[in-house]
Amino acid sequence: MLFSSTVFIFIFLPAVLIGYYLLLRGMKARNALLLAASLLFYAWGEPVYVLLMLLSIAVNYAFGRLLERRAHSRALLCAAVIFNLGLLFHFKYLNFTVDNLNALFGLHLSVPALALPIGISFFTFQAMSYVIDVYRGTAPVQRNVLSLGLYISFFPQLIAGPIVRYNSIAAQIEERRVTPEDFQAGVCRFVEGFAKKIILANNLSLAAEKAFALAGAGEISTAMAWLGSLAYTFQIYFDFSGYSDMAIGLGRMFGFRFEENFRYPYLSRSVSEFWNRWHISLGHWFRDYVYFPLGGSRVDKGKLLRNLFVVWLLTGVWHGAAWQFIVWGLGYGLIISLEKLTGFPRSCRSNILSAAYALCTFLIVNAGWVLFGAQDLPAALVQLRAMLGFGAAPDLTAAFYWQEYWPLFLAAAFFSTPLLRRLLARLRPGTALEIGRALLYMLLFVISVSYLAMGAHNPFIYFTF
Amino acid sequence: MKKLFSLRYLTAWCFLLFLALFFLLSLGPFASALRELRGPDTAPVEAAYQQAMPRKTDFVTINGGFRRLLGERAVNERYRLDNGQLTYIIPELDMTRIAANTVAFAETLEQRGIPFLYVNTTFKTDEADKQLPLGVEDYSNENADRFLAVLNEKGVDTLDLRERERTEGLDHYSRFYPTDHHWTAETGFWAFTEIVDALAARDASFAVDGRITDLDSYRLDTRENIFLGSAGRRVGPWYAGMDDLTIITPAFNTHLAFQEMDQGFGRDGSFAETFLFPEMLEGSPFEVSRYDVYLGGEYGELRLDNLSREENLPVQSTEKKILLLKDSASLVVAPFLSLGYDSVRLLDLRLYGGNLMTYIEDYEPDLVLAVYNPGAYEDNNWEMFDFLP
Repeated sequence: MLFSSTVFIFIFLPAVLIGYYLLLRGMKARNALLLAASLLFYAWGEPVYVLLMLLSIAVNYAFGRLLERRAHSRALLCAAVIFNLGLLFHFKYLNFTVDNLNALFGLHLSVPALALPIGISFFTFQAMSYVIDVYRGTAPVQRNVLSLGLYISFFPQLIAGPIVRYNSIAAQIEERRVTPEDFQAGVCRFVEGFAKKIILANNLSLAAEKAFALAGAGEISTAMAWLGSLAYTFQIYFDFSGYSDMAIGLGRMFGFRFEENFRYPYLSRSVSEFWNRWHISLGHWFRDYVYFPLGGSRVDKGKLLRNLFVVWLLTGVWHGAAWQFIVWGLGYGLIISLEKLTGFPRSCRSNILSAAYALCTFLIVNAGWVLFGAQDLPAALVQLRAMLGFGAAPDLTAAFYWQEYWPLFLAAAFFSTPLLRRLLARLRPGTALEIGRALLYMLLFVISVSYLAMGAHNPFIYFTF
Repeated sequence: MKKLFSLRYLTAWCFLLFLALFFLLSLGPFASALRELRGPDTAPVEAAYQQAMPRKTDFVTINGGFRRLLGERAVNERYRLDNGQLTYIIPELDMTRIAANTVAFAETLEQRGIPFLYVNTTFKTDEADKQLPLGVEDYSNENADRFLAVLNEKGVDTLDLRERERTEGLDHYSRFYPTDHHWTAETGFWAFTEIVDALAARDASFAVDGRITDLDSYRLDTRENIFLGSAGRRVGPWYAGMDDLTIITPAFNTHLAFQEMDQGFGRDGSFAETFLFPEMLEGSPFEVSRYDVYLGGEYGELRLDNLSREENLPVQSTEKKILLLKDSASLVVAPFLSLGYDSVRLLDLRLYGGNLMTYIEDYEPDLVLAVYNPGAYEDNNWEMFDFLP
């Protein structure tokens, strides 16, 4: 089930809220309800793969209990990691691996084409977080299988994150309270994310998808290549951060506090900074469970480069089983390595140079999204070439999409900055503010629902994750 | 408890009230939608609920208003022209097959001594003044040009109403409902007079009483802001506006019969009693197409008989039998055509399941008319051109 569906908004969410707040008392009962709701949420559209999730819960629970008895058993940890990565490999990377082996060695191996279980990258990483934290002793073992099930499958962040590390949430599963302030903040955050996803991301996706299709056909003009890349840059941000906002907001409505996943990434002054502001929970996961164990940055330059290479290769691979994601990840690894080795732009004293590099960062990210969103690597190269001026003959396609969506492009640029939040923070609390806030949020919500009622374009960007 | 109802939480309360209200309203539609669940795939349930969700048309209206505010001109596969009217667009199509079908049909009729006239109606987009948003192209007229060129080259008799409109210097866009792809009833009446003139010019025995083709012999009753056309229903009245609709009824005495052959219902009486369906003017404009006030909608086969000669009324029809192969544009043409001729039978080949040639052999018409708009060329309508078995 998707947050951006009428069934979720008008059936599932009200039913869960009613059950949680009006029908049940006590944390155990409420957690059981959330677990059941989460499994239903996943089973709706993925009825078979919910069994996979149950298997993941059961096996990771067993590993946790075994690690409790044999603390710091490296063999057990390895077995748990192999199990989780094995699941991920089987469903996400097996076909890609076999295709490449066939191409490389002229083999004719065949494997059945498997549908990718939605959100498998997210819940598998959460499950690994649990066993690793238990192994390290940074989190207590979870003796209640239902609580562990809730951690792995909790519907707000199940299919698109944020990736919640177990040690950051373990205590909240057992004990949490929701104040009216929390609930109101959760509602506002949910509506913000919902509107970002439906109004901005979904509409801008029309221009982005047209550009990717034209690039795939080798018929993209320079203007359309740029417009499409910008549209996708905004689409993926408002889609992903919108989902994260909805997840954080829903979590807060049920008393959970998830870590932030985005901090205005397009304002970054360097590529390293961009990755400190973009998909923060994934960056933290790789930092805590891969980069630091490899030695982090407190090693010699050779090892530092190796560590960065490993992390960025994995980051690329995590996003999808295709060469374009590997190139995309390694490209970031290369640029971040250069920034780390040279100290630029951190050590730069020139404001002009810093500003120019900030613009450069945005362009690098923008080009990166072309690699990321294109149909395949050759199509991405066609679009990047077109952006450099080697596109097809000019036509009116870009003019049409700009004419249609320029207010949304401007809105997307504005909401990529904290300007509105800063402006709102200056308003004096009072009756007018509360009424104004309620009107604004309800208007946003109703307009967003109106797009769902229209059956408007509602793509789901995370199928490849 | 007092704290809970503080104004500080107004947003949360509004949100909860909204969810609660729609949850209650949704229980029935969702329970019905669940019946669509026949396996693990939940998409049919979502689709069914989406269709039946409460207050859907209000949301469509709100969405249209918002997108009008944003200045969007392409909404839900409909395009807003420079003049504010709505249309859909047709891609460039290969006309070879349907042109060949039409030529073969005309030749078959010629062998049997039955005259055939292909009437090309006007389309919403004017070839000379498309008024489309920048970067949007519509090829309806270009497709029609290529199609008619083949027909004319092969000697098939055609009447291109676009040419007649240009020759007479008529304003194109005012002749369509702004929120619909259909022409207005007044334009339908005009098309009827053009067809009668064309037939009479080819064969004087097709001439009709001059009072029948004179609009002054009719009463015009215009209902303001009553009609939301098919394009308007997709985007809502806040985006599209509402259209006026005129009901044209003869001021002279008539006696007509209407027989629908699929369901088998029929009626007879005056023009208003027989051909008009005033119930189509009632109910939500989202759910009822006011355009269907003439003839009540689309049928596979419809028989319209004029009994004026039998009853010796002052204005009488001409003794001819016409088979009209139609699309929806003819709903506002056929009723007037029926005033001119004894028998007019309408076949919509999208809905009619029988063999057309067998039908013609049984009916023995004096003329076969095909009255199609350029939207009919789209591949989902190709059965309209499958004239021969």
